[in-house]
Amino acid sequence: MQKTNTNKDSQMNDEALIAAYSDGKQSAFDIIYQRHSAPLYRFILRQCNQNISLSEEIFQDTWMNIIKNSKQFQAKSSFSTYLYQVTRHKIIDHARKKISHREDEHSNDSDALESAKMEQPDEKTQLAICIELLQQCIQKLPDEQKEAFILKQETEHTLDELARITQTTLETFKSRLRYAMKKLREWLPGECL
Amino acid sequence: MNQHHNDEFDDKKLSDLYRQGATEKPSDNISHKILSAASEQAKLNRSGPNLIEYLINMITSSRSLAFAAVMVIGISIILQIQFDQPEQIVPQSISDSIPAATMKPDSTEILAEPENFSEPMDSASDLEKSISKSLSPAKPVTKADEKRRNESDRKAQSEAKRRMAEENQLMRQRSQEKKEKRMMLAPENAFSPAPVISPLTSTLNCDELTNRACLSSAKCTLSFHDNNLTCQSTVNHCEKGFVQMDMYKEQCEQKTGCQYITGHCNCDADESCSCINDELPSCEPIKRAE
Repeated sequence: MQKTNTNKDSQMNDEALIAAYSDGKQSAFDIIYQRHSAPLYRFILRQCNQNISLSEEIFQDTWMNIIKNSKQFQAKSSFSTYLYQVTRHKIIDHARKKISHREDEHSNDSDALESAKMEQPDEKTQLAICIELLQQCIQKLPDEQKEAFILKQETEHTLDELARITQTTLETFKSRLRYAMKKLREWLPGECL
Repeated sequence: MNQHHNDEFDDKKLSDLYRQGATEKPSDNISHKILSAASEQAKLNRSGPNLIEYLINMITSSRSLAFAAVMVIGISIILQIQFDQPEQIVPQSISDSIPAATMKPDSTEILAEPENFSEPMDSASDLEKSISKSLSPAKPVTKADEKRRNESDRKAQSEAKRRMAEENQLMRQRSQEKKEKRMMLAPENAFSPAPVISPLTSTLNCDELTNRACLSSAKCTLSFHDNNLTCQSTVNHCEKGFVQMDMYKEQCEQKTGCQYITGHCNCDADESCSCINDELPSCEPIKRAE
């Protein structure tokens, strides 16, 4: 996720970078964006059931919020925790209704899953099929379990931090994650795992 | 244990499979928009905030300064009006001839006897009205009219002066009377337990004192005679120097052969006193058993 960069700024942690940016240093923001943009985008995309236009809208809205309030950020928690908390709220604010519409379109998820399984190996490689199956299985998870699984995969936060981001207790978060992983293992064919 | 417990959430195969499929990135277009916005904000962060903070400080401080200024000006105006009021009532030419006591009575007299000043003030107000009326500019007139008017003005002014002098004299008399009354009441009003004998009281005979003044006099004793309260000179060593009040009980009993007789009297402002069971506080010689 993080590219090795000889630039001194790239060695700085997120909190120092956002402080530098709030003092007017544009390059500090560029590094932060480079570090977090892709995983954050994927987190939004998965949460929005792969709806690209909605995900981009939320993604942009989130970063605009971060840019505007960079001076207000106080390093009580890590910047990354703050970033995902803001994103989560944006998703809740903007996307719930749209996601529900999208869910209607995916009412035949099980059919899609079956069709993916039935596709011939010679058309797609085994790995590509497994990846696609995993994405479809993730979309089938209940929202809270899906959120827990994606956050765990896309970020390097500890379980405590993830529980804080999702505004729940550690045990609840663990429970959600445990169920998510159990279901995914059950749903995916043996040759994928 | 905890590490082992958390290991259950690290499914390497599942994670690897997920990461191999996690290749999506935000489009260049949206990244460009975000970075441009960030660049704009960075410029503002470099120069803007100081100016904004400066302006906010200016507004905040100037608002409080303006408030303080309004308060100071308001209070000044009120005080100015209060101090200037008596002088504004009477025209300058007349005020010169009026004693200062009338124009600016001292504050203690105002507090003690406000009624004294209501009349002169009303008179002054009436006077001002009459003077203003007589001095008010008239329509163009002939010399004879002007002469007549000047004459009537002079008369009005001299009349005003005379009336003000009379009012002032009357007011001073009343003030003197009130002062004398206050001096007579002083022992009851005073907080000091020591008897306060006013110069006026000390020069009067006992039978000339009011009941209240008699009670507080060390030279006189108030007692019942034929169902009437009478003030007489002290007749024995017990009464001598004794003030007929509860607080002087110890003073009485320190004298050999004297005892304090408890009594309660209420003395009104008009100097009349009524005593419970006709008993007055007194210091009397102890009667020996015969």
